[in-house]
Amino acid sequence: MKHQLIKLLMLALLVFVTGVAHALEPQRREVIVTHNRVWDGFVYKENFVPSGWPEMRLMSEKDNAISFVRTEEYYWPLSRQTYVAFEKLRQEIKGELVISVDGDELATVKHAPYSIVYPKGAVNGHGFLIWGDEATVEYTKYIDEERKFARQFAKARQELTRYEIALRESAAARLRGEPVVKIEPPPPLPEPSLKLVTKPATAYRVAMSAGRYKAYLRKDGQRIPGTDITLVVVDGSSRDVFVADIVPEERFTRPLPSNRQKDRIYAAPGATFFVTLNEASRFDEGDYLPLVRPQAVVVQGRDIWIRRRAAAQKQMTLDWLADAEQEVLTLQPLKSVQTQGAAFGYIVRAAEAGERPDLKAFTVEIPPSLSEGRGKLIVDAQERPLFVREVVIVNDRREFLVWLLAALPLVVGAGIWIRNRTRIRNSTFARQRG
Amino acid sequence: MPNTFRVIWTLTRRELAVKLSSFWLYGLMSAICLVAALFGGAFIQSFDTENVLVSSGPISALNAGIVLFLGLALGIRLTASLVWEREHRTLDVLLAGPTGHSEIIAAKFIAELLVLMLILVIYLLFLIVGQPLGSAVLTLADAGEIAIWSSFIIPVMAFGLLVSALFSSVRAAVVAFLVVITFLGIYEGLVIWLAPLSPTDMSLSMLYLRSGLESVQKATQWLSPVSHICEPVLVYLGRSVSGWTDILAAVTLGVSFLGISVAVSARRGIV
Repeated sequence: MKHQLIKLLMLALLVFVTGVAHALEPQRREVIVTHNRVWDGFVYKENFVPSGWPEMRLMSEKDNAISFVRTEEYYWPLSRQTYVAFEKLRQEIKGELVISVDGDELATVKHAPYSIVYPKGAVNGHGFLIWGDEATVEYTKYIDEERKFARQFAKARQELTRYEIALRESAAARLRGEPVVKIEPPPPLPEPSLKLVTKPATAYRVAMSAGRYKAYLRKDGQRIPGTDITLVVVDGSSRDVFVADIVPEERFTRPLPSNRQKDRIYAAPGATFFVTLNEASRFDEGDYLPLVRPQAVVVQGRDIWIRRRAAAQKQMTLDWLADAEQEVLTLQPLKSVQTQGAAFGYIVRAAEAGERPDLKAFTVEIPPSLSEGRGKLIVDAQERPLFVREVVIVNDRREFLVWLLAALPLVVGAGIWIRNRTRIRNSTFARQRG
Repeated sequence: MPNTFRVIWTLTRRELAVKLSSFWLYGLMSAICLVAALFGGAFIQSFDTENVLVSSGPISALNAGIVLFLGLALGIRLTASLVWEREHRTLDVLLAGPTGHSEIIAAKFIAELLVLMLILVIYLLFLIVGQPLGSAVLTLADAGEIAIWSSFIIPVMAFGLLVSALFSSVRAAVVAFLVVITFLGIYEGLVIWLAPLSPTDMSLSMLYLRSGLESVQKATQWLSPVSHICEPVLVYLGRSVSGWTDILAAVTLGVSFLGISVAVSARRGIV
């Protein structure tokens, strides 16, 4: 009996272990997904939308590249995400993309090659798509330019090396007492271009105004099953804002982000902090996240700020409300240096000529004499909404008043309680007497 | 119908007069102001080590905490209210007059709502006059945030009345209320804790737990009074944005609990 029980337990354990092992291997199935390059307001982002997903989000303003791809898809329940195995199977579905609204066919789009062009590099955004033969021509031209640059750079590098060798030999010759020979320096190394053109790929070109559209793929007049999708195009205009990072002097490595207009900067009298300004785009999370990560869980109505790059603004105004005068702050390069001697920490000072700055920021100094007050940091740029952050100087509170007011209801309650007790006692006494 | 309103108003005034003459209400007001004073002290003290702070609502955490505290306190008060009348046989006296269960329950609820408003007015006055955070809180908008959040207390208060209608003794009702609220609170706390964690940072058992809790949450998020009262906490944590639909959902659940309370109380009668 005991042995049978042990056998049964062993069997149960075996079933459990193999069950878990089996469960860990997700089931793959061959489906059609969309693999896209979508415009996010600044750059192109790559995403894929799983099969059976009811809709995909796009942004108006610029072209988007959508490709329908047959691949293997699997769902991972623990991360609650669907994944695709493009490395195993990636077969583009060619046909024509039919876009309709309210049942009326709006456009049919042919499968075409495209490239993404970033004229000033991906880091500076503002890319665009070029389609058809132009994409191939532009890519070839870009590759030729890159090769030409590589050759020029290698040649300039050789010149530089030759110059350095000549300098060393000249120095050695001088040490031997030979006359000074003037060596002409080589021309400077060529500056690389930040321009980027991606290798041509194929996709369907979608550039629609804001709205909801139905789309599917058609081939030889037949609708291809599994390609129906709703395109939700959100308005991509007027989203540019400034956001700031507030860098306290004593916590130089820990900037405090300030994205919202209603954020306030609380500072102690005598404090110094630095403000870095960034260009950003503000979106409703429900509009942006499904655009770049279609499977993300979003909170509708919550704002999200996507930082793009450091702002080019050179000036900021600090306006103390109690004071009629405005202080104009200038963007300056700053350097943090270790304090000398026995003191701990570091100090932040203006970077000297030739020094590589650690930070480019506006310096705000709260006067130690200003024990209370409010000010506003303002950046008024034409192309973006007004940037305003309130600065509040935190002063000590009136402790006696605070604790007195907090205890006041208790005192009133005690008074009422005593009055009630007195009334009850008096009425009991009166009843007993008479 | 006008008679019903008159009866409710008379009962509400009676309830309110009793509440205003009791010590606990003033104690509760002082407790909230003292918490705000301590919170403000800690805020100012943080400038001993920091020179700069950035915040859009320095008292949001305090407001969320006070909403939770008031929900629990007023919920317990309402849990004890109707069942106290039943236990002390004063419900018989009330029902002998031209009043029904609906009028009694409505009056108790309205009186407690008025008490809630009074507490909030005192709290706001304290923030504006006392300035417990020094000069950090000056705007009415900062302090007024709690006025909107207080609507999320309604379901817990109405739930207290429902529990009160279900039991015959004050002790049993309060214990039942606390047990249910604690259980739902632990559940919501786990969901709030686990929801933002990345799957890569979680163990397998935590992932299964989160998956299970969230599948249940789809049904309970509208029906659980604790889920509504946790909304300010989620807003403070930046994980939710309260809209009119959330406020409407909270009020609707509160009214539904009140309706069920009336039905349960009428079915039970005076025992």
